[in-house]
Amino acid sequence: MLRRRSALIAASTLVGAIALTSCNANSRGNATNSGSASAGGGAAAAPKQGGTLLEYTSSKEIHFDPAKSQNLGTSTIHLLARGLTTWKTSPTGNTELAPDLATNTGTASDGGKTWTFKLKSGLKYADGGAITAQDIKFGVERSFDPQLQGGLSYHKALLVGGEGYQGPAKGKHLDSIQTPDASTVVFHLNKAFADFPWVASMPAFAPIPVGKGMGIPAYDRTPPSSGPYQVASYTVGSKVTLKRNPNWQKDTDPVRLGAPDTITYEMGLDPDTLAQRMVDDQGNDKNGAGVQVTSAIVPKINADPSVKARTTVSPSGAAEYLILNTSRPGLSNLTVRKAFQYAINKQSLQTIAGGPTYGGAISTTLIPPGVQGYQEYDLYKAPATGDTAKAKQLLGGVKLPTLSLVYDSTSPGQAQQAASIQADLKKLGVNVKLTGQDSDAWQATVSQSNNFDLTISGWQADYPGAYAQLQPVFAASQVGGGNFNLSKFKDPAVDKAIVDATALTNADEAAKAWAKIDQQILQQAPVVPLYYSHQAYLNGSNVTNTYIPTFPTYPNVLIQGLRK
Amino acid sequence: MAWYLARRLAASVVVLLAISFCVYLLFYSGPSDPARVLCGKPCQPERLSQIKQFMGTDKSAVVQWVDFVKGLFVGRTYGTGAEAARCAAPCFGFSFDQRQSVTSLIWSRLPITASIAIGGAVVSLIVGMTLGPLAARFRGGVLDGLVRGGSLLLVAMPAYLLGLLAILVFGFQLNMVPVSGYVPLSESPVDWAWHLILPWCVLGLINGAAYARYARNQMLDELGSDYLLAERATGASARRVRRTARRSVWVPVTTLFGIDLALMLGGTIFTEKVFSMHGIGDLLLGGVSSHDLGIVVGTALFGAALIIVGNLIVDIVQGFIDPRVRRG
Repeated sequence: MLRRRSALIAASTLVGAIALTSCNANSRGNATNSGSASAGGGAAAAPKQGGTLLEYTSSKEIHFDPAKSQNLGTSTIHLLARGLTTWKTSPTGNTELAPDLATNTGTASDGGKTWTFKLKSGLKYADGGAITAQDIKFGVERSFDPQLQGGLSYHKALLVGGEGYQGPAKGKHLDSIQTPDASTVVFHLNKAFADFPWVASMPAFAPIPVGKGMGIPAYDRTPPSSGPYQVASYTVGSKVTLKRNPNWQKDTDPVRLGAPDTITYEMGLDPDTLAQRMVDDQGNDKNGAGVQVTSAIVPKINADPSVKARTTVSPSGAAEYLILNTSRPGLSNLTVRKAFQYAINKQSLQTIAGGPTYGGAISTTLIPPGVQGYQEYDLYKAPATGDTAKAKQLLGGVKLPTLSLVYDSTSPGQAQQAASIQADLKKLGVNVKLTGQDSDAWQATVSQSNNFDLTISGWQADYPGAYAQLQPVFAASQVGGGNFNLSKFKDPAVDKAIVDATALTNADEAAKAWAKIDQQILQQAPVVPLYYSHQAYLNGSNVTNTYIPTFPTYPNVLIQGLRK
Repeated sequence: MAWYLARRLAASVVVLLAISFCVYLLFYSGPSDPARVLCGKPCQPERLSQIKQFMGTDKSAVVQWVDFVKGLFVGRTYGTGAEAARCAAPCFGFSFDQRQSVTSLIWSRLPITASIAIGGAVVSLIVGMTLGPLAARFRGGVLDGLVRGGSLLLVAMPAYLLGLLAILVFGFQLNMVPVSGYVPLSESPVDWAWHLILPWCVLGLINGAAYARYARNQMLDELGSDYLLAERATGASARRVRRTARRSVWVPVTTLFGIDLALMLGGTIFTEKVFSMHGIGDLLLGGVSSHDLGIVVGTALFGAALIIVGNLIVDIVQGFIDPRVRRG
């Protein structure tokens, strides 16, 4: 969901670990004051082996069933569940794909419609059972069961025969997943899809032992563990403790460090109380990780260098846009949309969001840094405060009706941002009517109706691939019906370019193609890029590997540990 | 009496059904689709219709409500085959997000809410029935002024504000008591009580303030009544007269107390939220924010049922005390 309720994002104070998803844009976070800490930061020293790492969260439950999980590749569920592939982050470079249970990141054939993965040898679950290709197939099939919906579901639209399939509970299997032997799994797709190796890193690709039943609802609390940890205890609403999986072999895992002996999730905590505790950094809180910075503590962070040193700000983030509804009178005119590109004072919106550090960097592209195909360019060169004269010149004598800007009134700062846009457009002689709506109503209005001209929203992909960044927001097939092409943008040339780029298995060619599509779309000006929104986290003084990679916008829980 | 009881019971059932119907209609007139919440990302149209079919939300709101009412008496089954989800009677609904019946979710949260509610109710009764009659005794004095002013302040103060202030002062500044979390009674009775002290005091003070004002006024009325003036005139001691008056004050206050307790057992939303305790109020709040229809309808109905039962008990008790009520 686009900008899924910021409340939800705020609720997942935990290092993205429990984050439901990072997609849904507006990961604007809670910080609303401009700060002086620079983006980046966060400890990256190697953690010691042992100790108890504390992860704090306001969430009351953690769902561990891989089929229902929307956790991204560096999040909590991957401490227990390994996939065919995994994500490798670094403090400086981009997030990359790495083989996990598989020996490589997949071999394509049939022009990218068939993907083969070979499992490493000797892989075991925590209970000592062998992990087989059939378990991978069962795990994926299981995610089709109507009781197990809600997770990342890219594979469901890609696998041949996936449309009507309802899981293996009634003895039916998906023929498009073949397991010729115990260590080989082959996926047959209904179209060429070069990003399938990224899809194979998603939670549904975790192995689930065949022959032990569907595990409903048992696996939601105690899933079969193939990662470095297993669930030791689970108390609803208050605490989950993870202990070591004795059968996890570190030499088969290129990503996870498995440093702490125990990881304890303390749940249901109030975000503001938690943030204050982290500022104080007393007792066990020194070993606490991943608390999202709230606006209330930004002044304290800026006033105290020791607190600032424990604060990590994401170097990139969701791409925030002013959405221009291209199907509405006035905005169907490309010249008008181009004029709007110059009219908006992006700096004002950035300041409202928290300034360059906590708010985000001003953007001119659709793909944010850290995502495949990002290439810096500026089609509509203007100062950050906008170029009203140029906008007026472009607009010429075009008369526009009063435009309706709907915004999510529950999202911090949106009302002020809407007012800023209203003032910018007033300078062009364009009247804008502002309508604040509750997040549910807003989401229904912009994704299911056509009763608006403008809205503010953004998007962060589910993996750092350009397909996941551009297709949901700009493909014609994603207009209406609760989908996220809010600008109702329809361009057959763009659709074809997306389909073509999706099939490119050569990474360099694909990156070039996506960069070109980025510009191709923005030439049609369906949105005004505003800024790449940042997120900030505060950690205990004894926690290391707290840096935030370029993607996703929170620390990598798979590598965190204690200094001493 | 039997006819009176039958009438009251029948009315209670009708009210409960009406409430469940209203909650269904309200939820379905909202913009969010519970099936869509569960559909995953990206959500394919065919997947969405499968989920709707499984949840039963592909039917009209009225049919869904009828299914819900049926489930209360005979239970419900979602899906088919060995892996179907079964919700035994009385089925208050099913949470597809948590894959548990709402009844079991309510039972799992009830000990927390009951701990807060009963403790808070006891404190409120002690506060109200101590300070109210005392203020009446010293009418116009310093104590009376303090009780009147203090109780007015507390009654006007929202529970969450008092809770946050209590956390700030007694938790963070004086570091006297824990500020959040719940320890089960079975784990450690001392820790259980220690973690509940602040919520009990907050809830107890707010309700107790209302009781104190009520008890004070009631006490003054009683003390000024003809029969007590006559008793005093016939030589009864002031202490004895006050004791008689206090007994009369108990009746209306316990009536209020019964309804308040039922209300609190249905979920002390603000108190649970502020003190990070995950009782029934918190369950309801979570259900609303995650668009979990089963939880919203089930907990709302459970809360309503408690209030109706509380009212029913009060009515029955009053019926015994005052036969005119039975005829009314």
